[in-house]
Amino acid sequence: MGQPKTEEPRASLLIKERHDDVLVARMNRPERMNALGGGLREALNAAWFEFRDDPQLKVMILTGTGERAFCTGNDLRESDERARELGAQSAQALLEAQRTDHIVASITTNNLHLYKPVIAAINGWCLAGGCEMALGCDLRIVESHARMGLPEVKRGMGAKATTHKLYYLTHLAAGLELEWTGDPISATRALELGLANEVVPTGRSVERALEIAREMCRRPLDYLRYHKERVFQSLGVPLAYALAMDQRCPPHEGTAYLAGLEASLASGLPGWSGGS
Amino acid sequence: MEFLDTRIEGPVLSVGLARADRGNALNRSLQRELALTWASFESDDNLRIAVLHGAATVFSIGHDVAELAADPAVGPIPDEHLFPLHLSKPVIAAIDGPCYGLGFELALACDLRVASEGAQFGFVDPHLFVPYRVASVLLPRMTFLGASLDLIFSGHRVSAAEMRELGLVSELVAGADTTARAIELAQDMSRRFSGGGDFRKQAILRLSGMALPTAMQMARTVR
Repeated sequence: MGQPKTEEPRASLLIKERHDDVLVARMNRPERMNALGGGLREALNAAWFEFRDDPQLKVMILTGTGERAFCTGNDLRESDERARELGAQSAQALLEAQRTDHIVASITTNNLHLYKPVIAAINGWCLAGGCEMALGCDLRIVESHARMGLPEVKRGMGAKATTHKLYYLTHLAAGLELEWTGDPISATRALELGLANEVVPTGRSVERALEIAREMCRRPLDYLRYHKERVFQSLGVPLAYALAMDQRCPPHEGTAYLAGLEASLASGLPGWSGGS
Repeated sequence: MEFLDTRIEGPVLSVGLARADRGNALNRSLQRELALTWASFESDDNLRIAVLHGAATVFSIGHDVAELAADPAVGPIPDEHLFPLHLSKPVIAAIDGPCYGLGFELALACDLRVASEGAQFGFVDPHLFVPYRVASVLLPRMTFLGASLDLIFSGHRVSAAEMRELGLVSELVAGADTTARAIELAQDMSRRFSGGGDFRKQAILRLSGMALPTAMQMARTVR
């Protein structure tokens, strides 16, 4: 401590690999439980935009290095140093200092107009801002040993970046339990609450997420975008209005659509050997 | 009706998709027949509940892709005519075998789903780029948001047991006639209500998702 950290070279904080149309981004600060500090936050911010704006990429997978942690949120040690640099004396001043960082790296769906699927491959502790980031993703594949939680309350802080989405992901009682006890939950409990899509053995989440991503990638990018946008634009809107909402529809003609029909006819419908 | 097999059993209308040689693919004519059937069901005071099922052991494989390819300019028929969600009377889907794509969306837009153990669900055709407007709105209100996105994006095939776990199927029927069970359920429901309006289905549709104080105010006037 004391001296500003020059931990690892910046490039290795977030390791990005391309698997065809899939971008796998791995948070790589295992010695700090992949906490958001040392430049990782900025690297993540850049990665969301890179993914969003690259027409070659369809699906993103977010994971962490090692078996210990997916991401444990804000790097509190760093925040503490930062607050001291700024001469902050009180807890309130500390919070203020953090707020400047609060353009949260996370949160894929909120403000970014990121309408491509993002899968969290949760390889270990998934806490606080790390958990919020996972909640901001569309699917969560959770390794059996991993635990998810929002411990902010135990430090007199509040989780505020994505917790509103928590209440669309699971029921109110479960959401409040997470936020107000601050106790982490197991992978199986996360599955029961609808927070995890699947639970897989230790070390297998990325592999499984890639399988799912490849399935998604068989679909046109416009299909994925259209449906994600429609789902998120209609959430929290009265049902009757939501159904009537006229969203810009992808073209019901055009070469991509027609090519899709041809491909569909050529391949036959999976699981149907009848006469269609 | 060329593609539908409808029967009246007391207050229950049974609507069978009768295009089994093509997996009950929902071509334009079948969709029109379905829309007409819903309209007459709605206006017939003797009918209270409908059961929608597939002929043979397929509910529906979804769009008629061959027809779409032959005539791509023809648009879809409007949601409010095709999907029974917009009726004032309940519709029960009885599902056996494949229930895919538009067929899946149609089943989701019914009020209850009774499924055989062998039923399979999903948006399974990755090549078909059609907007599932209704399912995208309904699914997150019927089950977990995460599970909804998975169903829409990855299109994997889901078993009836998984659908039951997600709350999307209200009853699993083992080793019996699913349609017969749905009709039995419909007969039972029809006895518990004096008439179609008592189901207040339109009130549910109109008030669902509204701010509670507004909904309570409006509930007095919505019939």
